[in-house]
Formats: sequence, C-alpha cells, structure tokens
Amino acid sequence: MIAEKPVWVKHEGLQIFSIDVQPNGERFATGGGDHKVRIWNMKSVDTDLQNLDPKERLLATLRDHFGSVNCVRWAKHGRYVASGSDDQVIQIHERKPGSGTTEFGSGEPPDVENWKAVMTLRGHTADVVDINWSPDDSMLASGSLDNTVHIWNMRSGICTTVLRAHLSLVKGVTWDPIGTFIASQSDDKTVIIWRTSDWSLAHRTVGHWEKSLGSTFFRRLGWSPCGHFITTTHGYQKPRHSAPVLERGEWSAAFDFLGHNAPIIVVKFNHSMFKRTTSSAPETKRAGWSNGTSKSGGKDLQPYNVIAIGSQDRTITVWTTASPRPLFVAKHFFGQSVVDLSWSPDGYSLFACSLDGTVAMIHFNPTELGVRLTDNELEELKKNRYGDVRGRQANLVESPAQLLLETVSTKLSGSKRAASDVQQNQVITKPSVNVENTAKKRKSQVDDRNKGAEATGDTLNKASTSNRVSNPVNQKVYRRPDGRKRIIPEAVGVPQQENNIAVNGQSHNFLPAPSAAPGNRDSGDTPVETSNRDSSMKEIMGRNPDLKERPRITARATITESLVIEKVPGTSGNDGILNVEQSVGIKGSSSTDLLIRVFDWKEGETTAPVCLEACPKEHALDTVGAVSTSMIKETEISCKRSGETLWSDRIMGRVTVLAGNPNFWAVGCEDGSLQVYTKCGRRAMPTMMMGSAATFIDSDDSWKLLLVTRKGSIYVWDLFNRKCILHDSLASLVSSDTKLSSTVAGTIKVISVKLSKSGSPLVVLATRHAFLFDTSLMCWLRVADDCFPSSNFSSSWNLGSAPCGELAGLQVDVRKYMARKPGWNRITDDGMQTRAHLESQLASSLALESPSEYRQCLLAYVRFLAREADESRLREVCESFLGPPTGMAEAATSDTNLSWDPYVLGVKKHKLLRNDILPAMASNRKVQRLLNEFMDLLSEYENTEPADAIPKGSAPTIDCGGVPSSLDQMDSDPPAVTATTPLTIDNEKQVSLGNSAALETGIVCEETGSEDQEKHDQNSRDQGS
Amino acid sequence: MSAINITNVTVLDNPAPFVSPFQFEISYECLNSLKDDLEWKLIYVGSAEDETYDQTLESVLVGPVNVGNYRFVLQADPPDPSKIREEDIIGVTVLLLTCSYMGQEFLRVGYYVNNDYEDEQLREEPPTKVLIDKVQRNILSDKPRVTKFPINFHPEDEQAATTAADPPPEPTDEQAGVNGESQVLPDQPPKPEESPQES
Repeated sequence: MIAEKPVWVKHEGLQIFSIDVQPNGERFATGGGDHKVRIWNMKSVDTDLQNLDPKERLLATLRDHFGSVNCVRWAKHGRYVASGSDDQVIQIHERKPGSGTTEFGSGEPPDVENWKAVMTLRGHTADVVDINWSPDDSMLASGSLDNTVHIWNMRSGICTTVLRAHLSLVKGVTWDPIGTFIASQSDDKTVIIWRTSDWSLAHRTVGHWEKSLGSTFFRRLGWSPCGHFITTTHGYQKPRHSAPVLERGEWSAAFDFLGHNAPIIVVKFNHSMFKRTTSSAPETKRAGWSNGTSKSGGKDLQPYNVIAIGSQDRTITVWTTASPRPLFVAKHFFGQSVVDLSWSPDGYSLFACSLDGTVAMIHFNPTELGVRLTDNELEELKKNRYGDVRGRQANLVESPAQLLLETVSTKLSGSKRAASDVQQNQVITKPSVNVENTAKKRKSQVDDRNKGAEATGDTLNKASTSNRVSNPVNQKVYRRPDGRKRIIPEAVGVPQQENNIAVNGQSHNFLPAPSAAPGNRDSGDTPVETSNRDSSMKEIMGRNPDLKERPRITARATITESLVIEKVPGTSGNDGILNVEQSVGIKGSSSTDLLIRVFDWKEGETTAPVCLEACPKEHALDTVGAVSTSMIKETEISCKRSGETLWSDRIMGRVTVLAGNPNFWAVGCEDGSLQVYTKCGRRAMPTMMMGSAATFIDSDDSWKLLLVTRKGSIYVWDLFNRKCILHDSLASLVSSDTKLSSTVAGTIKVISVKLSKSGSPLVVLATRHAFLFDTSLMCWLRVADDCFPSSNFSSSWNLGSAPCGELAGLQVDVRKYMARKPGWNRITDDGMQTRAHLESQLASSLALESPSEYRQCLLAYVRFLAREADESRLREVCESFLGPPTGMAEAATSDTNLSWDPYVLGVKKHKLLRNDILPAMASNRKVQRLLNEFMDLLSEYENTEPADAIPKGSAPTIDCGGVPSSLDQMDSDPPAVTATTPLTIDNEKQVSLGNSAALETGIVCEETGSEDQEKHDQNSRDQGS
Repeated sequence: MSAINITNVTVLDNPAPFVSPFQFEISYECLNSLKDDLEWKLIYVGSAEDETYDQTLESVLVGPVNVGNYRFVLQADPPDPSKIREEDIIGVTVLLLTCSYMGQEFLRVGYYVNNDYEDEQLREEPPTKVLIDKVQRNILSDKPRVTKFPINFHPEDEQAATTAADPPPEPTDEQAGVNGESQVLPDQPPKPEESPQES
C-alpha cells in the first residue's frame, strides 16, 4: 500500500467538498469552497510518473457556479461531469475541442483542456448537496437542502420527477446498480428507498440513525455493486458511530460498520467485487452474514465487496464484507472531516478529500484487497441474482402508443431549444456531410478566419495582447431608430464546434445534450448577416420611441409617465370620490413635442411612416384696441409623411396625448377635450369633453379608441359606429390595492393603459400588476401579479416565440420589478405554488386571448401535472378538452349546445389534446393508464366525426380582429407539432402518412441510439479493465 | 452557466488625456445563442462616496448573439468634468464596464483610473482651478476586477428557477480578500433602468 498527499491539489486553501475519478481513469475532478470545479490529470498522481510537468497537472478550472461546489460526479461514460452547488443549480460540463481559456481578470494561466458547461439544471430551491448518475447515465438524481430529490432526464435536461417525502434536508442519494431503486438519506434520520418504475416510495427505513447526534455536511450513502447492500452514514450505536447496512428486499438494518469516533459522512463501495486468490491465506474467521450469494462455491472463492468509509473523526477505514474488522485504517491524514471518497476504475486506488482543503490517494495492491472480479464476472453474478438487467432499467411500457408519444414529447421539448439555433438539426444528424457542405462556405471566409485564429492565439497569450497594436476590429455600428447604438461584433477564431471529443476514440452522437448543440460554425458566422438583417428590419419597422405594442399600423403617445389615482375620503371630495393626479412627467414635458408614427402596412413596406406631431406654439396676439397683448397657448398639429406635410391644424390648449391608426387620429388636450380627426385631417366630430385631461390613450387597428382621464374614468369607443363600448373607472383597482400598500392607502400609480391584443383595456400599475377589463364579465381581472414568488415556473415566460407574447411581457415586468425589491428569502415550494401559478397563468392567457401563450402554458401545466402524477387534475383537463361523451357530442354538433365549445381561442380542442396534452403526459409513465384511456376516447371521437368536419363558423369565441391572424400563426408555428401527429386519423391523409413514417424512423433512431449507448458502456468498461 | 464569457479586454489608447474618448477592445465567447442583444455600459465613478456622481458614458447594444468568439471596440466619450466635483477630478477613481442581458447585469469589470497632470510642475503645485486639458488619464489596465452575477439567460426553460429574479446573493469576487475594494466597487444588484418607487 502506498499513500500520498499531493499538496498541489487545492482550491485556494478552502474546503474540498467532493472528489470523483473519471471512469476511464484519465482525470479526476474536485469541487470546493472557492465555487470552482477543477479537473486534474490522473497521470500526475500515478505512482510511476511523479515527474510530470507541473503545468499538466491541473487540466481545467470551471467557474460556472456561484456557490460552493458540494458534489462532482462523472457520468459512467466519462464524457460529462456534473456538479451541484450552493447556488441551487447543477451544471453539466463537457470537454470541447480547442485549447482552454482562462477567465478574464482571474490572473490564472489558461486551462490545458477546454471544458465548458453545456447544460444547467435548474429547479432546486436550495443548495444541491449530493448528485449521482443512473447506471445507464440516462438520468441524474440530486438531493438538496430543499428536502427533495430531483430526477433529471439527461437527454433533455428536464426534471422529470420530484421526490418529496423527506421531512428534512436530503444529504445523500445513491442508485441501485440494477436500476430498480434509488435510496436517499436525510437529516430527518430516515433512509427512503424509491422505485424507479413509478417513483413511488418503496420503503421508509428508520434505524440506527435515530440516536445520531450532531450535524454533518453530507450523508453520502452507497449501494454495493452487487446490488444487495446499501451502506448508510451517520448511524450511532452506543458507544460508537456506525455505518448501518440495509439489505435489499427487507430494507432493514442488517448490521453496522462500527468503530468511528465521530459521525460517518461518506461511504463508497468499490466499483467491483473482489475474491481471494487460491494462493492467498484463507480467511479463517467468517462473519455471521454473507453476501447472500449461493454458497455452493468454495468459501474462499466467494466474491466480496470492498468499502471505504470516511468520517468526521478525520479517519478513513476500508472494509471488506468478508471480514468483521477493517482491512485498513487511515489516521492522521487530514486535519478535518473526510467528506468524499472515490475509487479508481481499476479498484486499487482510493481518493479522499477533506474539509481541510486537501486530498489523499491510497494505492492498494492485490494481496491486500484480493483479486478484482472482471466486469463480465460481475455481470454474471448480477444476472444470476436478479435476472437480465437489461429491460428492467425502466418501467415497462404498456402500449405502443406510449412509446410514440414519448418520442413526440422529447421532440417537443427539444424543438423548443432548437428553434433558437440555426441549422442545428442537420448538424446533429450528419456531422460528416455537414463538414463538406461548410467547407465550401468556409473558403470565402478563409481570410477572415486566419485573422481570427491569430486573434485567439493572441488572446491566449496575455503578454502580447496588452502591448500589441490590435488590428482594426471589423465591426458594424449603427443607430437604431430609438437612438440607441448597436454594434454587430466581429467574429473571431473558431466558434464552438458541434463535434465533440470522443471519450474512447469513438465518436458518435451519444446522449446529445440539447443545450450543448449550439449550432455549427456556420451559425457562428454566416447567420450573423441574415439574422441581423432580420432584426434590423424589424427594428426599423417596429422600434419607435412612442409606439410599443402595435408597431405596424397604430401608434399612440402620452406625455405622462404615470398616473396616480387617489381615493379621497368622500367628505372632502367635491364632485366625486376619485381624484386623479399625475405624478411625474408633466412639468418636464411642457415644452416637449409629441410625435407618433403610423405605418400603413397595406401600402407596402416602402412607404414612409405617417407622422403626427404636436408642437406647442405661443402666439403674442395683438388685439386691436386692447391694452395689453395676451399670450395665447396653442398647439400645432401637423401630419407628415417623410417631410411633406399632409395636413395641419391648431388646437387651443396643450396637447397631452396623441393616438392614431390608418383610420383616424385622436388628440387629447389638457383641458379635457378630445378631438378626433379623419385620416385626412378633417375634424370628424365636435370636440368631445371628458371632464379632465386625457392621460392615456390607445387605439386598435380599426376603429376602437381607448382613453383614460385624469380622474380615472376609462372609455372605449367604437368611432365607426359612434358608440361607447365601455365606460368604467379605475376605482376598483384602487380598493383592491389598498391592503397591499398600507403606507399610501388608496393610491395607485398607473404606468400604462392600452388595448390588449384581444381588444380589451389592459392597465399596468407601478407595482407591475396588470389588470384586464373583461367586457362580458364587466369587471377587472388581474392577469399578472407577484403572488407566486417561489413558483418554479416563475420567470419562465419566454420572449422567444416570434411575436413576444403579451402575458410574457407583463410577467417579465413583474419579475424585474420584484427583483429590485430588497429582501430575499429562500422560500421552499412544495409544488402547490407552482401549480397555482401555472393555473392562474393559464386562465390569464385565456383572458388575454393569447393563443400561443395559452398553448405554451397549457403544455407546461400538463407536464407539471404529469410529473406530479396528479391524476385527478389531469383527468379534468383532458375531459374539458375532450368534450361531452360521443353521443352527446353528435347532438351538440347539430344544434346549438352551449355547454361545450370545441374551440379554444380559435384552436380546436381535440387538436390541442392530441398534439400537445397527450404527448406531454407521456413524459411520466405513471399516468400512462390515464393516457391510454384518453387516447382511446379521442380516437373514438375522431372516428365518429366525419373527417371533413371543417371548423364551423371558424372563430366562434372571438369577437374582435387580431386573433384570426394569430390563428394562422398557430397552425404554422411550431414545426414539430404538426410533424408528429401520432396514431389517429388526421383530416389530411397525406400528412398523416408522412407523419407515421417520420415517427417510425424516429423510433429506429432511438433504438440505434440506445444500442450505441450500450456498446459505449461496454467499451468504456473494457477500456477501464 | 454563463452563456457569455469575457475572454479579454484591451484598453486602447492608454494613457491618454482626460478629455479624449475611451476605447476598449472587448473579446467574448458565447456558448449559447441568445435571442436578445447584450447591453454593454461604461460608467465613470465620479466620486467614491456618492453614487449620484456616476456618469454613464456609453451604453451600446451588441448583437446578434450567436455561438462563437467575437470582439468589438467600445468607444465612449470622456466624462463631463462639470458633473464631477472639482476635488474629485484629480486622483484615483474607478471605471466600470458592465454587461447585461435583458436588464440583468451579469458581468462587471472594474478598473482603477488615475488622473493627474502630466506636467511635473503642475503635479507638484496643482493650480486651484483644475486645468482639465492638462490632465492625463491612466487606466490600470492590467488589474481588472471582474465580478460575475448569476442570471438566467434562458428564462423560457421550464425549469427556470427563481435565480433570475433574486438579487445576487453572494457575488463572486475573483479577487476575494481585497476588502478595501468594497467601497469603490460596491457589489450591488443591477441598477434599475427606470426607478419608479412604489407608492
């Protein structure tokens, strides 16, 4: 036995919380209190190669965490290393081609190897303490101080399951090598065994942990490679601390490893089993227990496990399950608690790390531990005991439909990310072809790239960079219409490549991490042009200082930034309860010109926008015969198109708001008058008197005009029919808000009022709470608020799907606003809040009539329910989308049955059910019975409905414009959805044919993938041995 | 995981007269494409004691943000000396280069800046009224202080945690241990762009 302590393995002198050896034995990783993960060269600790160049020792430093790194674990295939941290996230790192970089400003030399974070797993609401990969690397389990265990799907990076049964901090997780269970240990002094088939609780074990005292950093329990034992940590049996061992099946404490003087923090089984050679001295003493294997073989040849135990008493002990006494005790290695252990792949070296910031390696030889069983022997042993392991890894699928839907659901989640990357898919499927393709394109950019290569060389070489006269940077700068400067940077060097470094000299697309697929080098270079053209186009069209929401054909402008509505006690109010005051903006803006632009989309893109401008003018009016000259305040209104004045007018008083669209213009004045002009500037109506100054104004695409006055009255008119659609007041918002802000009771600040895309008034307060007026309910609905701070779903609204969703915008505002507030506390979500949040989001998006957001939210909600296996809710959702039983449905189609509408926001409910809800449900097999039930029901419906049952009365629920266009968009929007119609008979026959073919190939790919994976596993194991 | 890593910042044209524009050549690598532009800001700290003397010299949007390595030159006007207290012009102050994504600041590079007269005689006997044209500005470009803040670059991820909204709990200061620094490089959460106080 040789022991060593490499002093150069350190994390700036801070604690090292975790250590793990790469399964191919080339590297080992450490995680420490300095928030970093470090990857070290195994050669540098090899007993033979002590004189390795010190620069080659540390291969990489990963600085992606914002908290102490508590756990690092390599995947079994060795390509990824996962790290869990106090910052609540898990990062997955992978080696990328190219040379390593350093962090700017760190002053450290560049890394030897280029390791980069490729995936971030977010979901825990407290420190992640322990993580472990599943035996087949398809999943990752993580234990956290939020009392949960999360199970992550490592293909998609999505959390598939949250295990909640522990009553206190979860500090250790371990996988059954057979794949049937996982075990977790918690500060609640229990160990829970979970079934991986449906994630139910198999057994909660109370045992020798009950009497344990004191707290420990970790409770890293371990599962023996034979699958028979779980050795747990932090037990106590008077007078010693112990590591209680549970036996498979009974899950009861079988025996304890006794002897440590302080709590046991970590146990680690050797990856293999060992046996005595015939030559070695036969073990005379036998313990009363054995491995549970058949005792037919000679006792000496019976394989046993080797286990290392690390404790707070600073010692490490190594035991075999063939002897009741430790084989080896390592004292005085560390100054503080041992917190993590790892065995080398050959099984003869043990790595340990400690809170004192050091690591130690202990190398054994076969005479000490015995002879290692080969992988085949171990497999054979497991096979004899548990049957063929393959096939029982996961829970069984009960119907082929489940499989189909699962592929659909993975595609769905994948496509979400793919959308942002250009040409990603081709890259994944055919890397080699792609190289050829790109080669041509590259030629044109050769010069550029050479320059770039130089540049990266330089950046790596710090000394030369700082002094070098840099070659001119080829960047493009322009001003956006809103006056902001935008730079398109110059691309330098080699962008991140898709081709990943093969671990064992074998390159294939095993387990592609979706977020790790950032597109090929083309997406780094060429799309710069195209996407830029896109966005600049959009900006020219869309971004103008004063128009925000509806850039194309309408515009509005208001002077006031905000509006305060105060609820004054009834006695003091003279004419009403409401008194509206403008708080900001009015004084500064007295001289400001108002300007709006309206783009008439119909006339083509080339036409310049029509601008309406209001400039205050002061005239000294000489009245003949008057004693003095009086100043008359007037505002000149002028309408221009590219410099040429179309019409102009003068209004008395100061203009506060402007609005316009291709049909009309509206000008509101300080004195409470409102003037409406026709397109050509005729005064369409006599001046309308509002009683107080207009503060917010908005118009839709056609004839609707919204106005909010200073006193908080809100009007919506249909100017075409000269009708008032709505007259209400913001008063109800005041009362609803009083309780929240007790300091200034009865006051609200309004920051914006506008018409939502669905044509209803939408008010946003300074608190960023948003309210929508429902014209059928005739009351205000709160559609965005901050009631769910700890929801996992918070801030999850994307701005991605082409036109940024309306609700999303509101949500983001709320989040941003909340973020500024001081006071941040860790709130643990028990799932209730997330659910409530999703439900309210769903209802809000329905109220806003935002179909794409509705769909998105529905998906998330169903996925959440599926994950939680909330069958009753899922059933209700499905039923609401399915409609009344078939017989009734037929009756309903014939006459007007109001009870069930087959459309929601213009989308057929059945289509949503078939394309979105059911695939989303497929993510958890626990609900597959329910899924099958609805699959059957749905297909029944679609059989009864004639195939050409064209949408009757196309948009039944919608009364105003705007939505039909988004309807089209829905249909053409996400490519994956339409391409993955499973099973059932679709309306368009060809499509469904093509689809089924696509699906089949999809499955084939899947299978080859898994074969690859097995091969790969096999290989890595062989390599290891 | 930060989608953007800054790989190098070269201070061009340094030292330079106080009244000449700033020039930074910024190189960064992007690991995941982002939908929105990055916003880079250059802030001149006018007074160590009072934040209100901070001057935002330049704010530019850089994009599109695609995977790869990029560089650009950020040019900014010099600070307006009339907005700096007379006694604060000469001496050491701080220049902040920040980068934000969708209103969330995730990176901050701080440089010490020394302003002094080039002329030996002026340096020894500074005139009562600052001769701004004679002041030389020297950025200590080899000692950047880099601070990162955790933000969520992909808020559409279903698993998105609350990280994006939380004020950075413990910003990592790469040169932890330099305590005196906290005064000049306050680790504050990103400043709101507009700050409507709650009523």
